Amino acid sequence: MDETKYTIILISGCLAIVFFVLLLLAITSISKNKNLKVENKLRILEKEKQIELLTAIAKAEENQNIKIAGQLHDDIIPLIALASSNINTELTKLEKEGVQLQNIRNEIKAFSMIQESIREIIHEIVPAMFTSFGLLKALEVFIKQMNRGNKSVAEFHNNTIFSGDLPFTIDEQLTIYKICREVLSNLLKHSKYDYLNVSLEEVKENFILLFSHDGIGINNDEINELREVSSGMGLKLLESRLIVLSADLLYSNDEGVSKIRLKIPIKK
Amino acid sequence: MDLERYAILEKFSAYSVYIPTLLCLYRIKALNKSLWALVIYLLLCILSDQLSWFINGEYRNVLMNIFTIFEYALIVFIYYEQFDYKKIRLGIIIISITFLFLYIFILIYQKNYSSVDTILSPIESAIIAILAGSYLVKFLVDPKIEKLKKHYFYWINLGFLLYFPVAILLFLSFDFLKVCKPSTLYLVWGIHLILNTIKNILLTIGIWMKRNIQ
Repeated sequence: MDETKYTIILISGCLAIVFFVLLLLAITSISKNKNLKVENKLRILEKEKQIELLTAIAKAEENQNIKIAGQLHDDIIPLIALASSNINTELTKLEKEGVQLQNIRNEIKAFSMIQESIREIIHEIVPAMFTSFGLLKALEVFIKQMNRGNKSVAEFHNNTIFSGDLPFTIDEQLTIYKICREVLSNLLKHSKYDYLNVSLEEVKENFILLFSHDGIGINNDEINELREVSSGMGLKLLESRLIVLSADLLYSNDEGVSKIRLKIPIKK
Repeated sequence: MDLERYAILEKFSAYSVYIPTLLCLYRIKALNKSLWALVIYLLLCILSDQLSWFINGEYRNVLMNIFTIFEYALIVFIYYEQFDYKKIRLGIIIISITFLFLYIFILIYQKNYSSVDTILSPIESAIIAILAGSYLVKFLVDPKIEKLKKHYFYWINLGFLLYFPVAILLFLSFDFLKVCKPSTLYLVWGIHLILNTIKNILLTIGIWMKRNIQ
């Protein structure tokens, strides 16, 4: 074979190899994109299923809680009140006959304490403020209550011009309220803040609430680590409530100010 | 191709290796074990390039043979670090040790360490090309890797995948290149220089894509 022919074959060979490698890359890239699309579809389906399941569980749990609250309110409290009243009447009769019953009367005061405790439990399940005035007012009141017996200051501000009805169902609002209450309880327990500001930042595309404080902060990586090692129910419940609302809770900690940003997309 | 153009290509190829090397040194905090091996490989390329300006004839071939051994060991180490399947890693170790012993044994036994071997150098390139091709399959099946172009090793692998398969053909034709006309040699070896430059550019992109290790 002469030199020219060999050179042509050699150069053609080199170019063919380069072409083949580029072809291989193109095929890999296309196949990877196809795989990704399929995986993404599966992921979305899986997430939808998960949301459906969690929503059903949350709803069932909520219904059960409301049922318990209703029974406590409608059955147990009247029963205790009636029993207390009947005993009081009987005691009054006995006292008229000259029997000393002051000690028993003191004991009976426990009935009203039990009634108060049950009312508190009912309000924990279905906050009175929430049912009467809605999510934002209930939040404001809860935040004000956090200042009681506490040197630190917590405030709520509405930084939007929004003042109408929130674009969420009652169930969704109750879930948002419970998320906020969990976040606020965690801040009260762990962050040791002197000043906490909770502000409503947006009610357009998203519903955004910002929790800013000057206490011990945490970032997203740290909360993820905590979520993995924690055996408590708080973070898990919080996570499932966020999934139900397709919401994000972002933690940041910069220059002495720690922020938690709750972002809930508004379905249109 | 004339000597003047070939000389330009040669300079481009020789200087292109400085770009990824300097970038590696600039982003030293981002380097993992694979990238450290890559830095050593790049420094070795610079060293052998510089030495080859001063050394001629037989000694140049000795230098090339030594460079080939180190080049092979370092690139294989890079792939060893990148593959996380135990069986593939074991395979890499077995093939590498066999190849390195064979290479050194043949060079010493045949006492031809001062001439370029036309069998073992293509085998070296072929092994690296196979590893680069296999890694392409890993890219395809690994669910952790979502966007190929954003993964630093995609570019490094692409550099090796373009360079080494062509090198197989060129090393196999070494006997022909020794006796052909200078213009033919410049033309064919010019392809090698262009591919080497492209490889170095791709390595630079790969290193640039590597994020800092937290």
